[in-house]
Formats: sequence, structure tokens, C-alpha cells
Amino acid sequence: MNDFDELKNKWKNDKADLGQTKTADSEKLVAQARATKNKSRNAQLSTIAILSITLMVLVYFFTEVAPFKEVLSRVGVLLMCGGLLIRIIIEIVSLVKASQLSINLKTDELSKRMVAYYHYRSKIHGAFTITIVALYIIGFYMLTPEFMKYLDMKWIWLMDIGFVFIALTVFYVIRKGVLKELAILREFSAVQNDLNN
Amino acid sequence: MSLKNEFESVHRQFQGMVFQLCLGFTKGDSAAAQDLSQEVFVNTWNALSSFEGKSSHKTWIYRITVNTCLMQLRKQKRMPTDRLENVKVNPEADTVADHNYNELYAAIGKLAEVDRLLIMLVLDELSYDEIADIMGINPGNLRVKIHRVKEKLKKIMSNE
Repeated sequence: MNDFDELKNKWKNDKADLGQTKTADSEKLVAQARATKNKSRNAQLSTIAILSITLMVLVYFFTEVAPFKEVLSRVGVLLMCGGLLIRIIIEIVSLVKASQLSINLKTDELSKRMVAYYHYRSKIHGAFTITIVALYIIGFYMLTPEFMKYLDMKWIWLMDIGFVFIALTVFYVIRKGVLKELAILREFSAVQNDLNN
Repeated sequence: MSLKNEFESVHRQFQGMVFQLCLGFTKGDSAAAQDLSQEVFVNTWNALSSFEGKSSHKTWIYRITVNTCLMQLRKQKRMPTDRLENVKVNPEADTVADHNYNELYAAIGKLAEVDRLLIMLVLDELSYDEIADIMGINPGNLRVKIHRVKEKLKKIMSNE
């Protein structure tokens, strides 16, 4: 194949020219590596920390500050706290799975793990998270009848309407994340397909 | 040898090779190739402590380079190959690659990402066993794939 031999020669000649190329200094690379190491892991750890603190505050509030007496309210609290707890467990599992995406795996194996990881992420960010958020919202509104006994009606309205905006914001953020991760899933499914066909 | 010395040696030895692969992957855009090579070496440093020596440093660096290039897909959208027909190498991005070589990277750039990486490993004269080891592709399947990619490249070049 003459064309290919010609290409090979050009590639070789260019390699010789590029041999003189000075890329980034190794000292700088090490500094950059140290600065950026665990960046994404830290982001996931922060999410876990924020969710855990929220859960602790909720548990403290509902057990110590304003313990509910009615069954409906208690079920509501259970839905809210239970949903958060499940979400924390999911994030921890996700963190463990992410640590298995090692860059020095064989390309086919890394690509398979990427597909599995993003498949898992799209599942948890998709229907599963929406269910958890929905349960959280339902749980919150289940507290309303008992709140009505102690709070003025205008505060109830303010809380319930305010919660709608919070729910819409959460929905928007989740949707954005899902779309991004679905796009990545499609990319790596295509790579996986290219590697195997 | 300390980790830092080992890294310096690996960096000195393979920076040209890594840069050329990145240049091919980024279709001759040397600024993007510089960024990508930096990312390859950042990943190399981060993975160096887990290097077990089961393969040579060379095979290992090739694998990290190939994987880092593919990981770029998380940041940029994959372009369908047929849309690449009209892509020209960025004229302002050829500070390193000579004009004569732009057509080389343009031709490679018209291939899909995996094909692009495969053909560059062939151009770098790696054996089929080494490529199979890097990519994790069955050697029999690899031969067929490389033959197909060469045919695609031949077609691209004859159309230019």
C-alpha cells in the first residue's frame, strides 16, 4: 500500500521534528498533578458531606426541636430522612465505582467500566433520584396538617409555595446532570462499539 | 529510583511520542495537543505509584495516552465522521507541525476516534501484540480492524 507507506514516512519524519518539541516542564506537571488530584473525588465527597449534614439537621430538628405527634407527620419525616439516607448511600457507591476507573487499564476494559459507571449514574440521576425527590416533597407536604395546628396560615402558605420553587430548582439541576451524563454514556457506548466491531 | 526521577525519565523519553499522538488526535491543533499531552503526563504522574511493571513503560504510556484521548470525549462532543470531510486543520495552530504535515493530520483526523488512535499506533510501528495489549482488543479482531482502517485512510487520501 504505497499511500500508507508514504504516510508512514511522513509520520516518522514528523516524529523526528517533534523530538525537539519542548512540552511542559516536568516540575510544573507534577505541581499541576498534585493540585488537581482528587478534584472530582473531593466534589463527590462534598456532596456526601452536604447531604449528611442536611440529614443530621433534619433528624435533630424532628426529634429534639419539634417532635411530631401525628402518624401522618411521622411518616412524612420518615420519607424525607429515608430518601436522603438512600441518596447518601448511592453517592458512596458511586464514589467507590469511580475509583475503579483507572486510566492505566486496557482501553477496552476502561471503556466497559465507563459505560457501566455512566449507566449507573444515569439510572441514579434519572428515575431513581426523581422518585427520592418526589418522596421528599410528599413527605414535606405530609407535615402540613400538623404544622397548621401551631403556625399561622400565612407561614404555611409561604412554606408550601416556597417549597415548590425549591423543588423546581432541584428538578432543573437534576435534569441538567442527567442530560450531561447521558451524552457521555452515548459517547462511550459508541467507543465500546467501535472497539468491538 | 524515586517516583519523581522515574517520572522525569518517562517524561523526557516519551514527550515527543505523546505529543505526536495528541496532535493526530486533535487533527493537528498544536495548542489542543499541548493541553492534551499535559493531561496525559498529569495522569501518568497520578498513576505512576500503581505501575506494576507488568508491561514496559512504553506500552504503559501508550495506554495512558490512548485512554486520556478517549476521556476527552467527556469534555467535547464526538463528531460524526461524515461531518469531518470539511474539517481543515486550524491554520493558526501549526506552530509546531510543519505545513507539509498538516495534510497527514487532516487525513488521520477524518477517521473516527478509535480508528484514529489505532492507525497512529500502527504508524508508530507498534507490533499487533503491543496494540492488542494497549487497547484490549482480540488480536484476530485487531488485524481485521487495522485492515479496514487502512482502507478508509486510503480512500480519504485518494479523495484529496
